[in-house]
Amino acid sequence: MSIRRWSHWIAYVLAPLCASLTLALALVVLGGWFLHSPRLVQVHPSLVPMQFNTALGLLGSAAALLLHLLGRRRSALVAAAVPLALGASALIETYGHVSLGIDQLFVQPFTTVHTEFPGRMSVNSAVAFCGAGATLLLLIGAPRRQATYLAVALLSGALTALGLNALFGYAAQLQITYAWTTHSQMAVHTATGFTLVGVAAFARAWLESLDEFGDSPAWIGIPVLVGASMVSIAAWQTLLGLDHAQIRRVVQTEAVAIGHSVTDEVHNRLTGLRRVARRWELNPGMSRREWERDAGNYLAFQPDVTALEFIDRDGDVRWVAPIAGNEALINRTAAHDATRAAFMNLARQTHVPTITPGVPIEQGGRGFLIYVPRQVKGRYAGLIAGIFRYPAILANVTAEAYSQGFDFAVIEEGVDLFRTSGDVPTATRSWGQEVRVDLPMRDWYVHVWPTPQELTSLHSNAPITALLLGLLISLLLAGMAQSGRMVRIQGRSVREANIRLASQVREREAAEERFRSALEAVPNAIVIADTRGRISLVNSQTLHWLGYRREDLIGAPIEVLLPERHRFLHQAHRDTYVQQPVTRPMGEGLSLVARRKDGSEFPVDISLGPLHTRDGLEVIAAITDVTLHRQAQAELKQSNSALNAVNQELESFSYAVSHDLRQPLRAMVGFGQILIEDYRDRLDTQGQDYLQRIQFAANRMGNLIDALLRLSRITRSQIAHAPVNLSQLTYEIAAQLASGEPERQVEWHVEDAMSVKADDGMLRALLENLLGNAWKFTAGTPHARIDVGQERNNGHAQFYVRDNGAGFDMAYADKLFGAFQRLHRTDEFPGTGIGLATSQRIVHRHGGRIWAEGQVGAGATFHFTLQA
Amino acid sequence: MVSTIDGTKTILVVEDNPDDEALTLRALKANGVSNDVVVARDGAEALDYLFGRDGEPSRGPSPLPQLVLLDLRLPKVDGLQVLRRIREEARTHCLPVVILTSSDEERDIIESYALGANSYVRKPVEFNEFMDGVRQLGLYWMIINRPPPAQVQ
Repeated sequence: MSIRRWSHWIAYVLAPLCASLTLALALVVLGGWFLHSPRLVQVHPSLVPMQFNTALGLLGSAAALLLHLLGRRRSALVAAAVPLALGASALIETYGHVSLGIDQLFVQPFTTVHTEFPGRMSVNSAVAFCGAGATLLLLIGAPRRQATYLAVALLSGALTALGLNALFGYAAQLQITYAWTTHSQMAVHTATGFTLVGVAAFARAWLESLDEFGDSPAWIGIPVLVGASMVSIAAWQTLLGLDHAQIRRVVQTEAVAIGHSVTDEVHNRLTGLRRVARRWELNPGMSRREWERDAGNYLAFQPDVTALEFIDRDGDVRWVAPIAGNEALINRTAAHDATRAAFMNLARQTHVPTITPGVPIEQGGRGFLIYVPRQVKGRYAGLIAGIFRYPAILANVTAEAYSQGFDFAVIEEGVDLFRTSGDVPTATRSWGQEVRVDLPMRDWYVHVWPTPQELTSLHSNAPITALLLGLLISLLLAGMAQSGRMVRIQGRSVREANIRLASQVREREAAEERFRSALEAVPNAIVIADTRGRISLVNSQTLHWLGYRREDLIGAPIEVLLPERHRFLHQAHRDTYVQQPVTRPMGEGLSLVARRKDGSEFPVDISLGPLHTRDGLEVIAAITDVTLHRQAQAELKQSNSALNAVNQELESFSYAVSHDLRQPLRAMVGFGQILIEDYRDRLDTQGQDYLQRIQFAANRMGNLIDALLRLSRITRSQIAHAPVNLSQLTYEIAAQLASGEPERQVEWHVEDAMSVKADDGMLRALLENLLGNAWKFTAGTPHARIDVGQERNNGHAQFYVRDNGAGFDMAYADKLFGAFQRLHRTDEFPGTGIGLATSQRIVHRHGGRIWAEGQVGAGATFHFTLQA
Repeated sequence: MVSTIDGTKTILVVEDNPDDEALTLRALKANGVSNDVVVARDGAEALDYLFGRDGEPSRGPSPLPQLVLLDLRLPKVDGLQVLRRIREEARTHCLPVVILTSSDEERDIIESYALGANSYVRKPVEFNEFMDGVRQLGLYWMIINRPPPAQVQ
């Protein structure tokens, strides 16, 4: 994480920083071009200038980067096209050998540094600009994919490497790094600019890749590879530089040595000639024979002398040694040509030996002559001339150089005097070194170069070994970085997995805690056992109820919780349950009993459920102490049977009332009637009246009994709900009432199609009561009218029966529905006083409500609902 | 007074209450039902009359009545038991039985019909109503109604 953070931070800072520096650099150089300031353009007079177009390309690159950072995509793309266009144009011009006219399009070059095409950027700069343009266009314009960033990273890495390499070259003075061709060098500040652009583009790509894909880019190895390769290349170039310097030193040394050897060879010849001349001077009368012997001695030592000439005062050759082959020279003038004549004269006049430049010599080929003047008593007496051919006198030097592995040429005024081999091989030419040969009069140079074999052996293997090793190490480092990233990513995923795992463990712990709390919180005793009946878990309630300690129960057979008499059977039931483990009550219909540790027992209900755990099937039993429940149940049973008995009694009573109470009444009425019929003549009016009263009272009692029976029957009977046509029912009852008293005129207003769900029989009884009342109480009303209708009240059906009869005083409204409550005298309106009580009972049994409104003499209205 | 059409056309009145018995007989008589009326004062007596008494072969079964007026609340064997026996025996299976009782209980009515009662009449308290009811019963069952053929009896 920390690595990601600082790399992120560096990338975040690097991109705008490098881009701004590049922008500043480009502006300064452009300013230099306009201000004609060589210092700004060139940095140092010895260095190449940054061309105007180069500065323009850097400006475009920097602008593209900055605009991209500011999110100005379109402008950034336009700016990025500038370096690409400039670079491509320069390449086309250079390799297409055409002029597109861009070299001096903007300014005239004024610097003195020679370039092949004034104003044109170097080839390496052009290539770098193509790369920079492509990099920036990709970075700004291409879709944000891993491949894009990989390409940008590669290109910008290469760009950075190019710039750094050139900078390093400047620092190490290795021209090859910044100059691909002699006249095309990348300026030092151009190299700086490319480095900055490359770093900025790389940092930006890094940052965007990081933002886009949330991880350090997959190509983290690339910067490592580029960086490490740069170090390797630097080391290689350093070693190469040292190697080259070493070779140059060796060649130089050899050149000096060869130069000395050449000098020595010439000096030896000169010295020999001087001795010959000296001996003659000491013995001026030397005969030809004597001179030839002396010359012969000389020749014996230095056999490479082509010829020795004894020239007299007049310039004629008198004697020659060796004679063989040189006879033609004798008695002829020594000055064959102007050169010889000039150098002979010079020697005669200066009394100093002279050495001629190369001349054709009589014996064939070219050679040179040394003239040594002779003097006798201070007077010029002629010359001793030695004729030399170059190969002859340089044979030793050649052999020596050859043994050292070098070739050389002796050059005078640009003309080869001698050359050990033919053309200098191209490979070795550049390694050649020249030294001046220290000779009087002659301006000889020895040009020395190693033979190809020697050059190969001079080259050290160290640089290339270092490069290869360095690149190998770079690759390894890149690989390490790459795998380090993978390790980091894997480490991160391991960490994340750990965090997940930890949270899962926490969740699991919480779940377990919740599970345990739940087990403890329930009011039941919870016991979990395996399929063999071994207890694996109990809650505190279990321990509390059964009087055990937890360690007593864990692992114990569950049968310890049962009375001994049930244990055997329980094992069988347990096996059955395991065969078909479903959640269900245990021992349904049985009275289960639990046994405490002390042996006492208490009644329980047990629910069983299967637990499918990792350890296999387990069974959870929830045990409820039903001691109180059982007691309550027993009590309830008792009161129920008591109630049943009472009901039974009530039933019998009702039956008795219905049957037995009526029978005496019937006897009273019947025999009273018989008495009236059969014994009328023996009873006076008073007696007959009494008999009538007895009968009336008995009849009334019969009615009362019937009404009471109806009331009690309604209380007891079942209700069967079915749709009832209330209107139809009303018509029927009205007809019934009318037929009972056909003489009465009552106006009926019954709403059509009133329907209700109710018990048919009870609803009929209800209406009979209400309509009967209405009928009854309108008996004395002139224009009797009864309304039956329906009204809506809060969405519930509500019915009413309204009459315009006797009505009632609302003060007694609460008494209307009580049994035996009457608001009228019996002789006024007959009735039992139970009808409305029965009606109310019926309404209540239908879950409804009944109430009345009335006014004395203005009628009554009964409202009722049937369902709450 | 209507003369007896047939000596065998008796009416069996099963009634434990002497008052009711008297009233019933009076009602029958007053309404011109002149058939012989046999009164059984409890259920056992009624059964004895119809089937003969067990262990007393001398007293064999009487000729069957044309109509049985059967009260329900009876000593010894109650009316519904008597009715069940009547319907169980092939001989009395089709015998018209009218329940004449004070009970207005639904269960009595339902059970009576279930056991095969031909009619269920509640004795009203009001004497005139009672008289009228009995008159109609006699008229209907003894005169209007055609009894089942003799061989069935």
